Amino acid sequence: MKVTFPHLGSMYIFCKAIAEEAGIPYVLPPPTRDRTRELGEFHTNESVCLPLKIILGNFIEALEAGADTIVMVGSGPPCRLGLYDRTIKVILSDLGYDFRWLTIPGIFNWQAFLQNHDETRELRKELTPSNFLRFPRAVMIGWRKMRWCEHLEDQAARKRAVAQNPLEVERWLQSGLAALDQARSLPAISKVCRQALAGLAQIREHGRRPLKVMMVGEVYTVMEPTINMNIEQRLGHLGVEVKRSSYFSSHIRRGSRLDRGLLKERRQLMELAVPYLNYDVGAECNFSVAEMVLAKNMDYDGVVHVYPFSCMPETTAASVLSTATTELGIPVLSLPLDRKDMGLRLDTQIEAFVDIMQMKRSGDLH
Amino acid sequence: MKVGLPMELLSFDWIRRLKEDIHALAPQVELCHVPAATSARRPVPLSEGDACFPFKKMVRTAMALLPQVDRLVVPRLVRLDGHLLCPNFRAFPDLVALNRDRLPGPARKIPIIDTLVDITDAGDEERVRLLLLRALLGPETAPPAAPFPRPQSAGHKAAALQDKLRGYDRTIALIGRAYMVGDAHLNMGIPAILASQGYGIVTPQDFDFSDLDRAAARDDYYAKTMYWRGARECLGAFRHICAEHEPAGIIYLLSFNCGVDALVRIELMSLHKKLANKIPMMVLVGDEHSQQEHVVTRLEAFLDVIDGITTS
Repeated sequence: MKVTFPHLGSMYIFCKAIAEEAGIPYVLPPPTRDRTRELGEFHTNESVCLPLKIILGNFIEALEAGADTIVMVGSGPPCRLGLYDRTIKVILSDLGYDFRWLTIPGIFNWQAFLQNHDETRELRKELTPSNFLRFPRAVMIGWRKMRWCEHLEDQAARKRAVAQNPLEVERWLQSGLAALDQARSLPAISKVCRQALAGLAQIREHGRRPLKVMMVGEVYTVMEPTINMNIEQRLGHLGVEVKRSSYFSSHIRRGSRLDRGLLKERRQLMELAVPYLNYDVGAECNFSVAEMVLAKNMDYDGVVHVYPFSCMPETTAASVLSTATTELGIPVLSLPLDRKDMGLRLDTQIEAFVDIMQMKRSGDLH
Repeated sequence: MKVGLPMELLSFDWIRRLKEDIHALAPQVELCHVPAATSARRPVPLSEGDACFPFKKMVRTAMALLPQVDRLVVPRLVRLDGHLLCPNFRAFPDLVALNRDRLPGPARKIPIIDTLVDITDAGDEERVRLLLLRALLGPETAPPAAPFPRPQSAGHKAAALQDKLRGYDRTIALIGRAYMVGDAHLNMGIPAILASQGYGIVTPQDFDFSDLDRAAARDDYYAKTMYWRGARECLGAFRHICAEHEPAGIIYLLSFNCGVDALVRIELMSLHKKLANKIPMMVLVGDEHSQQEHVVTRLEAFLDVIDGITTS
């Protein structure tokens, strides 16, 4: 058995840690690249959303590299994410790949339990008692790594906007993530991360107050830099601090329904969207709108709304944001993303957006 | 009282029954579905983004109806026959209201009735019907004595299909959402072109939804049920028509950027590969900018393929 999983930002560090600590053989898909995207595009159609194409590409490359068991996190209605596993299975089967599948349910219900029981039937036979015994520690190590990854990325986003040389931030972040990936114990994890944080802290700053933007939108697009064209970094290098709305750990905490504080926060966000949306449209639509209101309330300079082209909930959110931007007086940059060949266009849009925010802050634009 | 109900919504069987019901219970209500030609061309105030053409058209119709009516009914369609509709329908009343609030003149004061439509069984139908009637006629409106109109029976539909296909030697299965198949603007005149070439047309709407739902259930497993009603209609129709009607060809008609159909298309292509008898199949993607000539050329080529197969 060789397990594989899709890329989603630095989530591979979490997945790798669990597989390694539990002693489960795995194949890490090659980093998402043009070929990955092209494979996904070739085997789907033009109206399929980019995350599905990329995930499909990740799986094809992993199966080519010897994986035979696919693990991915599922979701529920009404957005397409809830049917990714069903659709990808159809495509891979038609392509003639031989594989087994395990969906980690995004929502725990009776049907999800039955499905999980069915899908793990064969896998359980191949796992040894040692794998099961090591699993709780593996999850703990993975979880700790994920939380540190997110903390490092958050700190890097702050520092990038104020660093005299933002490339130093990238160096410390990448070396920190690599060291985190290699760490094998809880103390080692803490140690390498503190070193990376210390490295980030000693980077010299230019002293100007950075612009602050909230990045909202579809979760996969917000979290995966190859999908969002590394927009967090592009903005950071223009002196903009980016606050991300989605982190993988918060989705796990929300899905498990154990963190009541997080659930309460989500309910409050839903209420913030009510002047514009009176019903839960699904996925992150209402939250994208609510986070824009929140950004205004928290004196952010702007909002970047990223979503895959043809994403149903976020297309609605984009229409709503187009009116809310005028009412709230906060600039919004909506970016429906699909193909990769748009880096320069994105730079031009971002530069104009930064100019608008700066003019607004200095009072030259109302 | 003049009440607007966008014509695109009439493609849903439940909305047509609702219309019938309103006619019977409140003859004073004059329902308008099609806007005057002059107002239909006016752009809507808000950005339409990259929504699919059917959705944009529905919002435009609703907006164009506003100046002509006293009230506008844009129900919040969440679930019909126990299955979900596309998420866009959940936000439809909100987008219409946000657009309305930006209109100049008295149209911005027109009330919008956005009753939540979440229907799984006949009990839900009665509940939603009463809510909608009260929103329309006043909160004191008593529950109607007569039951909500039932859908046509499977037998009635079968007889109607037999009548429709009488005189045609060959049929084409035109699979698509009800609004795509039924709206000449959205379907780019395909049904009329096929009929003019001597082909009878079978569509998902010619069958009872419960039959199609059962056929679609063959591809479901545990938590992975296809949860959109429109998707089940298309998947079920593909299986049902191929098994029962042996069409000469299959056309899957969908709208560009439709998130639901993008996934259904993958499943239909997969099912088509597994068909024992190789029926020619074509996918036609329509959009606001699609040209009629382009569609005609593709249809001609497709019909040539069918002719080649049937005469060889």
